[in-house]
Amino acid sequence: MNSLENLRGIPQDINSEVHLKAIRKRWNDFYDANPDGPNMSKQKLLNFAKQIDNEFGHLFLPPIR
Amino acid sequence: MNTKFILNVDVPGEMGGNTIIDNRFNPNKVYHLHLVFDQYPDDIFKCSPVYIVSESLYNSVIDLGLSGLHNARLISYSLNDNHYQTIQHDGKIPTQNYFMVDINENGEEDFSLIRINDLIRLCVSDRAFRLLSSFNIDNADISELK
Repeated sequence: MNSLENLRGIPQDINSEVHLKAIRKRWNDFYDANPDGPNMSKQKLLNFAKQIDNEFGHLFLPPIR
Repeated sequence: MNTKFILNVDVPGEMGGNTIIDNRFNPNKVYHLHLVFDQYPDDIFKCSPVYIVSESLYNSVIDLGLSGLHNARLISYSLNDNHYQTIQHDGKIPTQNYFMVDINENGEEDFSLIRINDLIRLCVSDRAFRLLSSFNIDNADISELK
């Protein structure tokens, strides 16, 4: 999960706040739907991270989608 | 029928290391919340699974006799050392108290929770929305309940 290849950057342009807010809201919805705490499976987290990458990856630095 | 509003509220940070959470319950029980802010928060915001309100908003809710914010508990908070100053360009930092509150799925109350397409959202009455509009809810996504 914490490997360098999973590190994401969001450019500090005018939209960075908007994108960060949207991503945090999406993760909150995920935690609401999956209240597993520390027992959450790594695969579930990775699958959702991939969804986030698909939605927002074109905005990351470097773009990943 | 009175108009109601749906809010997908701000998520200005994440739980910090001093949080005490019990995941034997669904939703998880939070006995103490330590929030690490990434940016200056709205007056009502969320950190799953709890909702948090500023002391000033909470006082107004109580003074006006609005219902739905239950069992207010003081939280502790700090700022994210790595990027708070980068994200919060104006350098504004939170100084007031914040309370985590319980909100039920009771549509009769001024503040309630509603499930929409498996997502949990805050639902507020017209008079609660009028109050919220006089506070900072800039980062909430707002729609009218159809």
